[in-house]
Amino acid sequence: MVLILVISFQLAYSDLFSKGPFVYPSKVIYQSGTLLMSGIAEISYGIKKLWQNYIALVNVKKENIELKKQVGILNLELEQLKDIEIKYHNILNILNLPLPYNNLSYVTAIVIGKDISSIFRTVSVNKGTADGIKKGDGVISMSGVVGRVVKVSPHASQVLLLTDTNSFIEGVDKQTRIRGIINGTGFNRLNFLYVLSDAPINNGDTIVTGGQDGIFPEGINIGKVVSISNKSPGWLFKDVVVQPDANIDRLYYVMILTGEKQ
Amino acid sequence: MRYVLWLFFIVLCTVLQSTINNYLPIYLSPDILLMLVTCIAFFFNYYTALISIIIISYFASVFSAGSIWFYLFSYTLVFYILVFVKRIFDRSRFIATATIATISTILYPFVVLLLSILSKHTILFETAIFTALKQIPANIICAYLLFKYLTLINLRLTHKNSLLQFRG
Repeated sequence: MVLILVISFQLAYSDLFSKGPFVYPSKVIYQSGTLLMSGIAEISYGIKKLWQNYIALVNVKKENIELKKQVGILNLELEQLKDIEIKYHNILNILNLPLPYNNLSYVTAIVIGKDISSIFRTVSVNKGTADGIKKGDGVISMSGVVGRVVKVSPHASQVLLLTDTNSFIEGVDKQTRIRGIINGTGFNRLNFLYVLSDAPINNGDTIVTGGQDGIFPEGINIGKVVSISNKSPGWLFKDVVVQPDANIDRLYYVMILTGEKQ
Repeated sequence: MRYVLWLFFIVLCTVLQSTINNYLPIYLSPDILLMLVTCIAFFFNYYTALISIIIISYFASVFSAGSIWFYLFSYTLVFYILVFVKRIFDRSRFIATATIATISTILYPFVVLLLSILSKHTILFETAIFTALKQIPANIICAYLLFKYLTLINLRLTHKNSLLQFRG
């Protein structure tokens, strides 16, 4: 019984303060566990790819015609955007401001596992300290912000998702520039906190990163406002609910922001 | 050898839990570790069960954002309540599988809520209760399979022990 107590306290001590004899074993366990998970992920994604590449070829012709139409429209939009980009760069040059994202470097990783408890919202990815990832690095997907790294091992990391109740990220309304804090709810919805009750925020507004938290650069999509309500007359803040842009429940590839390029 | 196998089984369950959570929606993904605690409340003696819970909690904390305290307290609380419930169902252990799985699933969010008040983790009660309720069908199937598996192992070990006693 004494031995159990000693082991129990040692485990808890190691877990809470990242010290003690059980820190190294926990890293080894996490690493070996994620190796197994990586293997399963590789097989599963391989089967998925096989399905997409061979069996799903049935609809390719139809899809091809549709895509050709879309390419035409997108080419037009691209030309317009290129024009806007040139103007934007010129304005930044005039104002002597640095260009966003230009110096950012990132590592692409595959999601290999989710938190063992459905109460917490974390995922494991197959890149770690060996790939230059540090605790606290921001994680994004093609659609927007995903979360940040909370635990690292040599070849795997754990990412706290945007939707976890312990996740807090600075957010800005792209249209009105209202600032607030994006907090997870545990579901596929986010709360946009500290928005004053008289703030002119609207449904459908895009919330982006503010760039002042030191994790994400400015302007990365977080989500769209889906509901606004005032708690009660005289209440200081509004209840603003945001739908995340990134498909948090079906993550495959993610990009881990590792800092600025040397 | 028996303990090494048991340890390997717990690690396998933890990795499996993390993997299936990644591929399946919540309502199809059972809480394997919680079901494991349900099973050890039935099949193991008091001290082995407590050691198992410590090991399960440790592995759970390695693969989760929750701290070891969170899992240790929640699983131990669930375990104690199940041991109490076991006395009621003692004579019909296997018929009670579904009932026990449901009880532990419903019980868990309340334990989590209690812990979220006491610990540093912020957990919304709705999150805990809704995810747990969604998991009930998957948990019943998982508990049934685990019960079946552990019964088989238990039977084999008992058979082996009785053979050894008979021989020697």
